[in-house]
Amino acid sequence: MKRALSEALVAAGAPPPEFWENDLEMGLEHVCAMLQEEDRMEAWVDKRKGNQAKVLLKNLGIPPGASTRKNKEALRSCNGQILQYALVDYFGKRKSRQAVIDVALRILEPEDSDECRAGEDYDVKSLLYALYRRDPMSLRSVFHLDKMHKCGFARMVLDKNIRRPEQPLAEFLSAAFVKNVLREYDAERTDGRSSELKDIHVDAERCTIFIRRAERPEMIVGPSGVQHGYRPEWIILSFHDGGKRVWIASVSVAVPLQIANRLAQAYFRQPREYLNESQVVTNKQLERLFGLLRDGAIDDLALVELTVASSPLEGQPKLTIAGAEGIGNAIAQFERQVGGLLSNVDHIEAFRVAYRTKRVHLKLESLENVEDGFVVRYSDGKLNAKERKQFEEYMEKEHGIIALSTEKRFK
Amino acid sequence: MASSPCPRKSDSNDEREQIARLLEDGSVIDQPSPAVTELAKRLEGLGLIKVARREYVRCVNFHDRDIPSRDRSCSGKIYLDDRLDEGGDDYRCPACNRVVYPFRHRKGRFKDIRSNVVSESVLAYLLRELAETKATVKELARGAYRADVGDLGVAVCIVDLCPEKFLAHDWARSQPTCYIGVNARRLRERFLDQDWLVRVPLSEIITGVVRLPDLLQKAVDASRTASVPNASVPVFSRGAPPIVNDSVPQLATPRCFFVELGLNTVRVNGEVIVNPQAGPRYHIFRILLKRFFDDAAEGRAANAFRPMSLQDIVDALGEATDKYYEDVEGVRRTINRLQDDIERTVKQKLGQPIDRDDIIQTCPWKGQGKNDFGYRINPMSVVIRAFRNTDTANLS
Repeated sequence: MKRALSEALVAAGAPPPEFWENDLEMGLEHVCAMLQEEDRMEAWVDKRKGNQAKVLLKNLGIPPGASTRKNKEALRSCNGQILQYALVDYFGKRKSRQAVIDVALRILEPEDSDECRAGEDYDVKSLLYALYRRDPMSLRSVFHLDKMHKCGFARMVLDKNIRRPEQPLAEFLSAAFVKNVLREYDAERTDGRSSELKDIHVDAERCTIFIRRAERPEMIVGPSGVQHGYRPEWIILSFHDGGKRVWIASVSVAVPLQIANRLAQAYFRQPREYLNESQVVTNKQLERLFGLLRDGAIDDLALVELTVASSPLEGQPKLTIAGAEGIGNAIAQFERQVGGLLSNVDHIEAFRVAYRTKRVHLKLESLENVEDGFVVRYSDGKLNAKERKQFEEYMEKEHGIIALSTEKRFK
Repeated sequence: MASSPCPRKSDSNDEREQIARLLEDGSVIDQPSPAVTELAKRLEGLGLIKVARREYVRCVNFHDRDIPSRDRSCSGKIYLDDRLDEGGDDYRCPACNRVVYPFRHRKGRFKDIRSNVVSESVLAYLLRELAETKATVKELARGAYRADVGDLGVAVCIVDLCPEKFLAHDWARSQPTCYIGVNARRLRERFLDQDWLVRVPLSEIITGVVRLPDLLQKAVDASRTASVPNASVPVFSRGAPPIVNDSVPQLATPRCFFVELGLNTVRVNGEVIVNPQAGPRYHIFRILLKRFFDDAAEGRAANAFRPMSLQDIVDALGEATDKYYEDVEGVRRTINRLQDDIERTVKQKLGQPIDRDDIIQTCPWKGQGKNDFGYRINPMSVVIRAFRNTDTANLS
């Protein structure tokens, strides 16, 4: 079954199965089984929207007709060619809209991306078809960027502020160099797990390295019985500020930090380490924020959940008040009738705010030897990269509160 | 005032209960029956409530094909929202944080409605109903009216909206009063257990179970015949001390800080940031402030205010203090520490958002080496005002 699909892809001039299975992590076995169901491709064509059919015809070099119905008829007549787009469609199913749009706007010509508009927004599937026509490898960028939008990043900072080398970090971190560092690291660990450099992405603000690495042992069941191997994890190291900061996303805690430290050590030519960043927010700042949230005085932010470790009820039990919408009035009522909740910041464990369309969980972390203040950490994995940046900028600019991720890494 | 059409009068207990439930502000009715949906529409038509109709999927629903391997008892509801991106993992269970795919997995959909009471419309509705009694009606306060019925008239108070004084025992004892509760939940229990009190939920008026003219008459009769005991009202409550919710002053956007320069003190938003014993800090601030005033007097635009080079500051400082400052770097460090201290003091004492550069700004200094900098009072965020006595210095 898989061989038939492989031959069909080669005949259509599409990338080989290796690209779909290894680079995009798609299980072709499962897709094959689905696509070979009777009339499956017919049904797939029927489901295309007007602009999707147009983009597909353009990809196939067929001038679009006067109506969507005619366009779909034309698509049905080139069954073998559209198989690869069914795979693209399958690839796009769980991909972040923001990731697709970001890559498309960077790679596509404006007239090509304009063809993919659906009203005031973009049609993500059309964008994926257009990207695939432009360069199938661009789907790898979507795949990688999608991961950045969906996970939280530990914010690490270099243990000492040192002078930057003259050579820019982006130049220094060549693929060959990073591969070499990974090879040496794997060899030293001798645990049988290997790391694979998947991509290095450079933009004006950061230099991001994508690594796939074997994490914990796992087995799968296949036609030939059980196969033992490792579950893969994606390690994303995003270097900012010329390497003085790194944001780390991963499953494992120690490995990515050790790799980042090695890269920093090589770049700065001295043994340096990244530490978890912590920025203290004073009690007064938090009191001010909670006061505004209770009064419902902030348009962009509403308190929707509050957990106090020690409530004013008898026995001082832990108390959580939560609501689908703002609970400022409920808190005020509780304070009037029972006792203070927000007046003692030390007792507040965590809270949740509604920010635009998302509910963001924040917690207060106390630091040793710091009496006046807490580190404010939030679950950044729930926001996409763009929303994350907006939220952090908003909190700092409007409330003077530096919100860091709840993610942390230790050696 | 013309009265709007009233919903179908009915004495059905079920309907009355459903209306009462819809009149509880913020109440959520899960999987509403067609009858409830119809009642909600009618109340919405009268303007008494606003109804949000929402659709959701359940985190764990054994009819769906995405049963999680962990926490199969999760009761989370995930509301559908056009603005969320399913592919971007935006749909998460608020209870267990699991990412769900409502559309891709064709999860079963459920509906609920959430009603919010519109206070102003409730008042308007009651006024319309009072107008139908043909009695003259006078507004005593928001949510409290006097209808010209009987010798003394009858006060009609909406317990959810009227001022506290109308809910006092003394008021109810001395004035014929009829109380109406919008939120009917435990209404009877929330009143003093006295037969002479006339109280009714709004739902009973809407459904026609109680007629307002009868209610007013009942209040008149009750005031004539009732034997009203003297209630013992405590002079001190031993419950939790009341919390005074001081509303937090909102800051103007963009940031704005009031700076006052005294004889040997500098204050920002009323908080001292340069103490009398601070020595060169005060003089440095004064030097920068003089440049600020000069630029302002010349009519320069804010972005054209000139920074002072470190050397100029050192020279001016020498003149001001009649001392020779050999250590230029020492002056730089003093300014940098002053910037840090201002930021820390404002954050700690006032809790307001501030950056290091918001009062004394570090600017790249043109005409010098690339590592040199200039400083100025930030013309974008600083407002200078006259020094005030300590007791009036707080930022209003």
